[in-house]
Amino acid sequence: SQGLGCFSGFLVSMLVAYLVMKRKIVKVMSGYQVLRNVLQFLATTDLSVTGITLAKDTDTCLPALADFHHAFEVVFVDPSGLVNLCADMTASKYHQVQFEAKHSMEILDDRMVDGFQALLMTSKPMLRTFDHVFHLKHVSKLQSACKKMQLLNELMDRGGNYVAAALPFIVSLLTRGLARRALLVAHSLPQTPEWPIDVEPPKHKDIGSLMFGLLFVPEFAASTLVKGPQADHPEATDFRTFWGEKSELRRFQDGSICEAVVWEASTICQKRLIPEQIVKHLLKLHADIPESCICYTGALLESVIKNGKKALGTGEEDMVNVVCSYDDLSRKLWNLEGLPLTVTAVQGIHPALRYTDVFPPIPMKPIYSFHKQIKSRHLLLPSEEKPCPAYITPLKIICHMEGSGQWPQDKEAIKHIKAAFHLQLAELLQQQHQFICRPAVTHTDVYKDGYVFRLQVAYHREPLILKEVVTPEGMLKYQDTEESQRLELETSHQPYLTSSLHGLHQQHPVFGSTCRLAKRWISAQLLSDSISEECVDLLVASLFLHPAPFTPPSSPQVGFLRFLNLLATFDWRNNPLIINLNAGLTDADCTEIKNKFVAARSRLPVMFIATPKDRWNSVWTQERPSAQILQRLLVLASESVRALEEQLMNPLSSQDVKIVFRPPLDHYDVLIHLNSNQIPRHLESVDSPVKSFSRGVVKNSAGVRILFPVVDYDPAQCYLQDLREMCYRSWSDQVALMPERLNGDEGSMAFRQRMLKFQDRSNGKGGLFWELEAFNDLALFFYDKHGGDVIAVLWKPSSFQPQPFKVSNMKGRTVTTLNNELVCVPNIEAILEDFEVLGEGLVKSVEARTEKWTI
Amino acid sequence: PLSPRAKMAAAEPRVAVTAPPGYTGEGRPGGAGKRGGGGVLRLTGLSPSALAVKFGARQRSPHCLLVKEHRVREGPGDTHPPQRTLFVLNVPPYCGPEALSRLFARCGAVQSVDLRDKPGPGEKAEKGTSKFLTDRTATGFQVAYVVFRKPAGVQAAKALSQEGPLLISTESHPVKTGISKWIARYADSVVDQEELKAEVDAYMQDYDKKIAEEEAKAAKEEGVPDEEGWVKVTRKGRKPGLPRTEAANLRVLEREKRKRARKELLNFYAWQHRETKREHIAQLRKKFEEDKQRIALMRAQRKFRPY
Repeated sequence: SQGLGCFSGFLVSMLVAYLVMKRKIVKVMSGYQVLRNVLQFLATTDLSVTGITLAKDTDTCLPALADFHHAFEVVFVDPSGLVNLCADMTASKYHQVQFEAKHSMEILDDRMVDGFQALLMTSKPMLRTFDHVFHLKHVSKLQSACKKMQLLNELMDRGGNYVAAALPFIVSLLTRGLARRALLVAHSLPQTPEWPIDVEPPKHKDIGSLMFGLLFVPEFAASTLVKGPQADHPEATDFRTFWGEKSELRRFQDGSICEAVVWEASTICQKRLIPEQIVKHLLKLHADIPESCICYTGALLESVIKNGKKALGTGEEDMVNVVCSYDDLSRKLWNLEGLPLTVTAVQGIHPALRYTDVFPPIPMKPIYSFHKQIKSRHLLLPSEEKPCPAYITPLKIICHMEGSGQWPQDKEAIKHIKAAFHLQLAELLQQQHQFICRPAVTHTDVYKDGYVFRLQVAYHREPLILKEVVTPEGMLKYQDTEESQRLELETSHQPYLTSSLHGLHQQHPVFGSTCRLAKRWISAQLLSDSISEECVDLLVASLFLHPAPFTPPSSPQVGFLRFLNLLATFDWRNNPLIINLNAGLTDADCTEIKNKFVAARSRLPVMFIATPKDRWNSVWTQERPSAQILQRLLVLASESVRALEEQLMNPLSSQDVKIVFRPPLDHYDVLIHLNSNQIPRHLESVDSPVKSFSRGVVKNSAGVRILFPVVDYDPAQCYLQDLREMCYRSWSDQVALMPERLNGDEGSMAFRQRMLKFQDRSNGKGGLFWELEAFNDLALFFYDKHGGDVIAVLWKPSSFQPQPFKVSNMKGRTVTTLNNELVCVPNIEAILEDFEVLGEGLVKSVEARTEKWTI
Repeated sequence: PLSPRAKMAAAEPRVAVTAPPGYTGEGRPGGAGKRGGGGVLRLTGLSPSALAVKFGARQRSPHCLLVKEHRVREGPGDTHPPQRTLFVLNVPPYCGPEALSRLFARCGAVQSVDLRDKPGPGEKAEKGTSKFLTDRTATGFQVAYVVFRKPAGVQAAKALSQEGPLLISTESHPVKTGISKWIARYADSVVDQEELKAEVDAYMQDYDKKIAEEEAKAAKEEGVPDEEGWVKVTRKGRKPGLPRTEAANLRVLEREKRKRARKELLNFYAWQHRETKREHIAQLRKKFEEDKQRIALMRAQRKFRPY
């Protein structure tokens, strides 16, 4: 609402006056009704076609509306009948206002969202609103553009202000070029700076850079072809002059010969950048603006989800291949002959099967000489002398078996039967489809098309059987146990989530990439183990399902920015995040969830996400993140979004967007540096490593009769697991906490309350984690699973307090006397050396940065 | 300024270790330890300390194992005979049963080593006959019960700490850690199909037999009164009883309650009248308090602050 040609408050009041005059607004209306009426009027009337006037009398000597339309783009005449109030406004700006008005009406009508909050309280900076944004670095170039476009008359009209003269033409040029792709082409308003009275007024070129925003139609934004009129039509020449030499004659399948423009793009990520090509081409052709002057920010972030330096695309095609292979496998499983029970459902639960895996698996074939071979069992083992082999993710698939009276009703027996099923599945797949299989007790690994699928048999009653408890009186009770919850998560919640998000990705093709960026950011901040992947997926899904006040994002970059913003600004303490997957919730449900949430706040996890299938439990955030981690995440998100927007808004800077993917390490107490040759995913790191190692695989999916490759072997993860087990402190503390967690008595209320205070204390970057009492561990470990080469360790401050000697307290501690009392304190020196011992071969060095342990 | 690491090395050995009563050991010869700031410490080589162990010769700082004779009143069948068992606390994760028995072998022949997550009787791994279907045990700091063949071994072990730090991994018997351990673990995770199949088949046969036996027994007992004349009602048979589950119980209770409510007369007696009124007022008060809280919360939540 500021700058030349803005839609200012004055204009709005004039508009309200006009509506009063037309009796569309009457005195008795409430503020809300007035707002609605104004929005309604804006949404339906196009002032650039049908102007309005405040003048009452129709004086013939005054210019008619048609005359105004001839001279100006937007027409709104004042009461005198002589002045156009919207003289400086471009048609594009007005269309933007109109679009927003229309959109606002929709939001107001939607009862699921808080319209007031979304419309009037949320700012919409251009970066977060528009899918792609580009800057015109030097506006002085517009001077030559004026010349090229022959805009001398306009230039004179505007007193030589070449920016104002050229802007409408450039925008209309772009609008025409991006006709079917863009919903809206908007521009920032040129701001005239203030200057002291005793200096020269600023020149036109001093207004800084101009910014343009594009909002896409997701279906057409990435099409490679612009089809023009048929070659013999008169419009053909027009088309040719518009596109210049890019236009060529093409013969189409229906036999017609048309003018067409074809843009070069092979991968999805390149296709997303076709608008960039168009913009640059058109501006150069028609406005003489060289490419170097345009700073286009559309896909700068995508480099962090490219695997390796040379990768062309961002792996979306790989994901599609995985899904195809999975579909084929599931079809084969359905039709498998010889199983005693039929397969009722095959459901994938791996993130790649919902398009949200950060680095999708690539078909691979192992090189024998690189591994230790065990021919008798048809498998390969990692060899100690060579660098660690490439990491092959097992793609987990749940295979539901038909229910039958034959299933045993005892948990041990079910486990055995499942093991038998795994064996049989492996055998049958090998016989009937020649896949190489490796059965185990809990799953069967299948090597197919270069991927490894991990089949897991499920029986729908098993979670129920795990819950059964017989009370001393002989009564059967159902109680949630850790095991049953985990199984339920795996066999019912995860498949549902995977299929819903798979559907969401079909609707919004950039959902997957946005998710991957978000996950990459979290893991780059070393927090990927502290928050579940599904939770991040859901957060991103909420951006697409409840975008108000924006439109659903159509580029990963804007999606990622909004994700950070959501993390940083959402009030987790007072609000549940309701995600209406598959529109399975009505607004009555939403109110119910909110009411119950408020009533039970102190017993619910700090981050509460409700979905149609999971309304009261928030299964994905039960365990993680803890209040401290969430607080850390919020601080990081707000810092990142600030840094990132600063980078993107400043076209003259280097635009190094990777800074938000490099974690600050100075808060941690100990850094464990790892040998990069033993990190299988080292290529995935944010800054591509200088040195790369052979990983003993070739990219190939042809292998049929081969030895089974090494699956799911990542030394860094093994090491982390060992470390965490080592520092997992006393079991007695754990037991003491249990009753607190199970029933909501006073003690647990206080405990939760304390955890919930975190948001009040958002004083920024100072301390890292304030209250670590919630953890039972001696230390916390943080690692970037995508090729990080450092493990950051944080001591739990309270663990250095000397504790009275107890058998249960003696874990990694040593005993000493304090004031003639026996106490034990952690034996940190020894533990630091244990870090090295445990990770022999993997650990390069252990760097202790603080000496907190000396009391 | 020294780096923390260097300082650490310089200050070494400064961990003065004492042992609590009942746990024995002899002080590791070493200078008086110093603990910064606390003003805690003074120590002589004479005071008792625990058994120091190190991973290898390279390591500088030892862990201390606390050892004690195992004394628990327990019935027969306990696997840890009181005279011959040594209770060891704070066993580092890389120290497996083999390494531990080698450590204590110098004190006398070791019969068995039992590593546990926590002390206490706990069930012995009698269920763990299955090679495949048991969960992998955690590898944090553990406790161990070392059973010697002769009681003398325990006494010898208690006196062991005079000999300076013991080494867990020696050249003759290296303990696998790091990469080699993980590779071994990966190799172990691959199961032999034949073996697994045989085991599963055997288990399921046993299970089927058990179930069949139980069923036969139930069928035999069906409708036959026991010595006191009671007849067991099961879900099978002509007159099935209610299942004994929580849900069924609740349902019955609910039905009873409804029945009783129908019979009861409301506001019949004066005291009933009084009580309903009192309850009503109490409820109103409670609701008022709740509403007040809710409004306060809403006010706190409001982001829009015009002033």
